[in-house]
Amino acid sequence: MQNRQNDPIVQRRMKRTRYYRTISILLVLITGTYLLFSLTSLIMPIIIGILLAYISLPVTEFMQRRGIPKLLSVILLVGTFLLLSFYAAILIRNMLPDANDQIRLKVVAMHQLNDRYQAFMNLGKTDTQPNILYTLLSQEVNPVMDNINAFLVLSEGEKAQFERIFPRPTLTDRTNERLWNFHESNLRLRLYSDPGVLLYESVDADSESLLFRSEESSNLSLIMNLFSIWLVMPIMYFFFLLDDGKLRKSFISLTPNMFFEMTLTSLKNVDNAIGAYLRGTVIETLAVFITFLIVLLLIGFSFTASLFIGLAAAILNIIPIIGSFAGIALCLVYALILDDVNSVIPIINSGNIVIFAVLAGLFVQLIDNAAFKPYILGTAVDLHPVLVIISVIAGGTMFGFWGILFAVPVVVIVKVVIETLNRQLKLYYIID
Amino acid sequence: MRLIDPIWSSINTIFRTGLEKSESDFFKGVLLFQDLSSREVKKLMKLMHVRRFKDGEYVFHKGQPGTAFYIIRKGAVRVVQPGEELMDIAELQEGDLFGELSILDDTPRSASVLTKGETELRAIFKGDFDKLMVSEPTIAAKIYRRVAIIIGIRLKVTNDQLLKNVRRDAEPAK
Repeated sequence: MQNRQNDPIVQRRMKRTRYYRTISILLVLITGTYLLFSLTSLIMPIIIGILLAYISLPVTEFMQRRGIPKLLSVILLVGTFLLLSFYAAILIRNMLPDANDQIRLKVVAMHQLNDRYQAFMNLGKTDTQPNILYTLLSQEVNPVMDNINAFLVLSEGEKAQFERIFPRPTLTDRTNERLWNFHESNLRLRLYSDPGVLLYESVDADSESLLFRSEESSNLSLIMNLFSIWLVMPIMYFFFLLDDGKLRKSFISLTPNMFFEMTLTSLKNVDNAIGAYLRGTVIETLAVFITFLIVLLLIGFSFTASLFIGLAAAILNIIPIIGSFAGIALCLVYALILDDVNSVIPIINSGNIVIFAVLAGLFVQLIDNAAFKPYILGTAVDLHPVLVIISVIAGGTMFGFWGILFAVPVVVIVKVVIETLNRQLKLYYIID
Repeated sequence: MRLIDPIWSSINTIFRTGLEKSESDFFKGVLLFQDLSSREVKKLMKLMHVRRFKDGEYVFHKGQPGTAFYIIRKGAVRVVQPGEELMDIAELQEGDLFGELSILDDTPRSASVLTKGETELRAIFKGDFDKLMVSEPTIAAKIYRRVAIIIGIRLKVTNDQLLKNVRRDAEPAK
């Protein structure tokens, strides 16, 4: 053996192999980095497609056990997934307010928000002074309120449209009286940070508002662009479900013999832990969504609002700590602009809906932390709060919203991989 | 993949059919898989990992967790007890298998195994075999039956050896 290694031909071959390997690794790294940066928009659809496939694996395995061939079970699953996505897209499209509804919503939201803010701070009354809270917080809160109002201000075009679709009430027809009262009250609003100036005068009303602009820019090209990027997701989903272990085998074939069994065991343990975490997260999200939907309907939110807020809050709930606050904040914001409350609980009315909305958010969090999380997720993936916050900020900085949403699952995966590798390396006497 | 790349698939099929056939024939001759049909052997082959070892390389060490069993495709291995000097227990050749007890329990390896000359092995991971037990219980049952037979044979050999030793130890007393 020693003689063979001293052979100059063998030595030259070994040298060539080393060069070949170094150049290959460098090329792969350079190409990988280039692709990562140039195809950033494709990363999320690919990751989500793989994650969905991973979560769906037990379903295809179950179907195979029932005698359905793999290809057919994958086609059935992908078909169901596409059909559900299509149905959800139509449902969401029908539920989203059209241009007229948006104008109405802006008028009502602006009035309710300012009305509640003024009532809370004891403003707008000539005989009494603002309360202590206003004295303490006005410097910070007033500019925020002015900015929100500037966002909700109707443009000249929107004002004309408002007058056309909601005719001014007359003595005989008082249908739009309440809405017009709100609109006129909005027109009289003054800047909180500078009470001498009328709000509508301070804002350039000729420019189209953000809400109105977004409606006009929702053209075909934007949809097609999004569609073509997200088309990658079902493709990745399909091929990852169809793969019968070839990817895993290829990866394992790269490991040196010394690490072979350790790699197999680590992959299995990581697979079990991550699979349980991801499936648990999906089930927990569903449970939180259903609880939100029921609770919000009970306190008097409309079905559409309950559905959207419940869904958004449940998805945000994937982010520990921050997600919980986001859910409560969503309920609070909607309650602040809510016009009509039709609760089955008699004590809830438009005066106290804000308090009940916050209580509803807190109640769902309580149920989630006391029942769903311990029973569905367990404590296997507990992360330190500081680590959660840092990873969420880092994720957001790198990949925006999707980075925020997937930061914690990614950290959990990394944590499980490191823990398992460390344990297995010790078990196989590779490290002490 | 066949749907996407039929040309590559065809080339693959032309060149690999003969190879796969000889592979499956080889594995049908392995003691553990003798009860399996050709179709079942092919299903099992999908679980196998190809591992190539240099001369004197350890496949596993005594005391490590046993998570896979091996079939010698080419070459030979030495089963040894580690110590100041390696004590040879057995030498296994092409077609033999070792580490098959790992599919029964999670106990650590009872001996070390190292290769003799350049060796090619096929490994089956316990986790994959457990999954096979759920998806293809017939294949798993046939293999378990063979494992039981192998253990039975080894037990008989060990008993005979033990009996011989006991008799040999008893002889000087006479």
